[in-house]
Amino acid sequence: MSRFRRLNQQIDTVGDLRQLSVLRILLGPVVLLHLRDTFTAARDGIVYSDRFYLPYFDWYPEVGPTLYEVLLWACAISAIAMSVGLATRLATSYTALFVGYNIFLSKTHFAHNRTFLLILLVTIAIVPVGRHYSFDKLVRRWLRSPEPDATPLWPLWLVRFEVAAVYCASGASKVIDQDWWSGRVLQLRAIDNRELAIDQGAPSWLMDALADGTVQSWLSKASVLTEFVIGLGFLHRRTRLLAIWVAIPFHLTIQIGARVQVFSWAALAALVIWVTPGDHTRELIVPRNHRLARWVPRLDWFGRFRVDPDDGQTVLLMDNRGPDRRGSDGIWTTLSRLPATFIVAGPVLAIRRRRWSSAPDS
Amino acid sequence: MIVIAYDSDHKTFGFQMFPESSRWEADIVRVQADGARVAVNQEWEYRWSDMVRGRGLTNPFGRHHADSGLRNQFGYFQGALDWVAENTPDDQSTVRLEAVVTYTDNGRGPFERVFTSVTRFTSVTSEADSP
Repeated sequence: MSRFRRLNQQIDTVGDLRQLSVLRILLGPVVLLHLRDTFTAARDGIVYSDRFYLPYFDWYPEVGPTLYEVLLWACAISAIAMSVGLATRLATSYTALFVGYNIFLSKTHFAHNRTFLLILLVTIAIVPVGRHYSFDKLVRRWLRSPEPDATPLWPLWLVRFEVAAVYCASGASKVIDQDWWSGRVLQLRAIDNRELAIDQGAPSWLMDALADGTVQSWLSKASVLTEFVIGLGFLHRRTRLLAIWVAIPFHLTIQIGARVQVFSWAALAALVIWVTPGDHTRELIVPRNHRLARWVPRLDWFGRFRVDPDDGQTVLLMDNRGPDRRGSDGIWTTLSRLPATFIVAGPVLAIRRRRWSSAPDS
Repeated sequence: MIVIAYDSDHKTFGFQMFPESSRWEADIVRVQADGARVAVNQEWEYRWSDMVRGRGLTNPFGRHHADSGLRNQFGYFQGALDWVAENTPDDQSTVRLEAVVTYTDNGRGPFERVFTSVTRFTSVTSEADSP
């Protein structure tokens, strides 16, 4: 089969994009947080055009203050509706449209975290993300007119490429910048913020260490490497879990140490796009009275497992993408694929498999 | 888009996070028709911080971090000078705004750079510019 035909088939592939429904729920509060200052100003009767702003284009349509306020508050409503899944298609489209319109109203509205948020919002606006975890689904169930779960997967491939590109672009910009790579940028930041950080409770020995050029030289390289580990790690199935596992503390750390607006929250929410699409493609056979039989259906928010309780004594996980897993290996593999438990189960599984593979009779 | 962004002040869609640890401050004056120079935070019916908010521009008078790098910051600052010059109709005496910006580029410097707003009254420009 030619490469082109394979690519063509890949584009036509359909599947269950439940993870984007989870992303939809998470992005509602992120949008409200992103517009928080704009809401506060609007409550006092102040809109963007009352203060300094810098249009990108002369031809860009600008609305009057009253209409802008109406559109802004409508976005607050649509963000909430988007999260709960009420009129989901309309809510996701309007939210993406307004956030995008607002960003391009003025250069002063631009920030990398906001364009990152916009990319995610556009993705969930073009995909039917109301088919799971939504009021719309309840209404359709009540009307007995269910929608099929399968939807084209290409928007997922596209947003995955874009998100990985963000991490790689950020890392590459630091590699080619000698001041960043040498640690100078981080060192100066630590020196500038030393007194403030100590006033806010940071230990002085820590701030002294962070102000050291050698320490920052290594920290800079480590942080650039982390961005590449995350961005490139996302792209391969074997390294994806590691990349997600690294991304969580990475984003929590920069949320604490830097002013990044909504970037950390949007990036943490976006981790769900790396869940492999598929509708119950893993079969978990568990003894009837085993805890997994009760907990996996509750924690399987991405619909990856089909749980079959039986009268046997051993847990068996069958996955058409890999070998069958039995006993504790099956339990830990299952836990490493559930969003609420993978942060602990992932490393435990990796250690167990490493020990198992190095055992003499493995 | 990432590559093209390197050529713009604000690196839109370039995703260059935390690019610099540069710092800057500005002395901004109103150049009067008679050539007098009055600081914008003195004797004026307007207040800078009411007109210009956020992006590191609210209080440019003290030394502080350059938001997303100097090029980004200076792009905004030039825009802010022009906007203020064009949106202060009650001020009948100021011809233009001028700012002397003192900055360090990732710790190197200090350097100085002069920014000038658009001219407000064409009729008095020549008077203000004359020696």
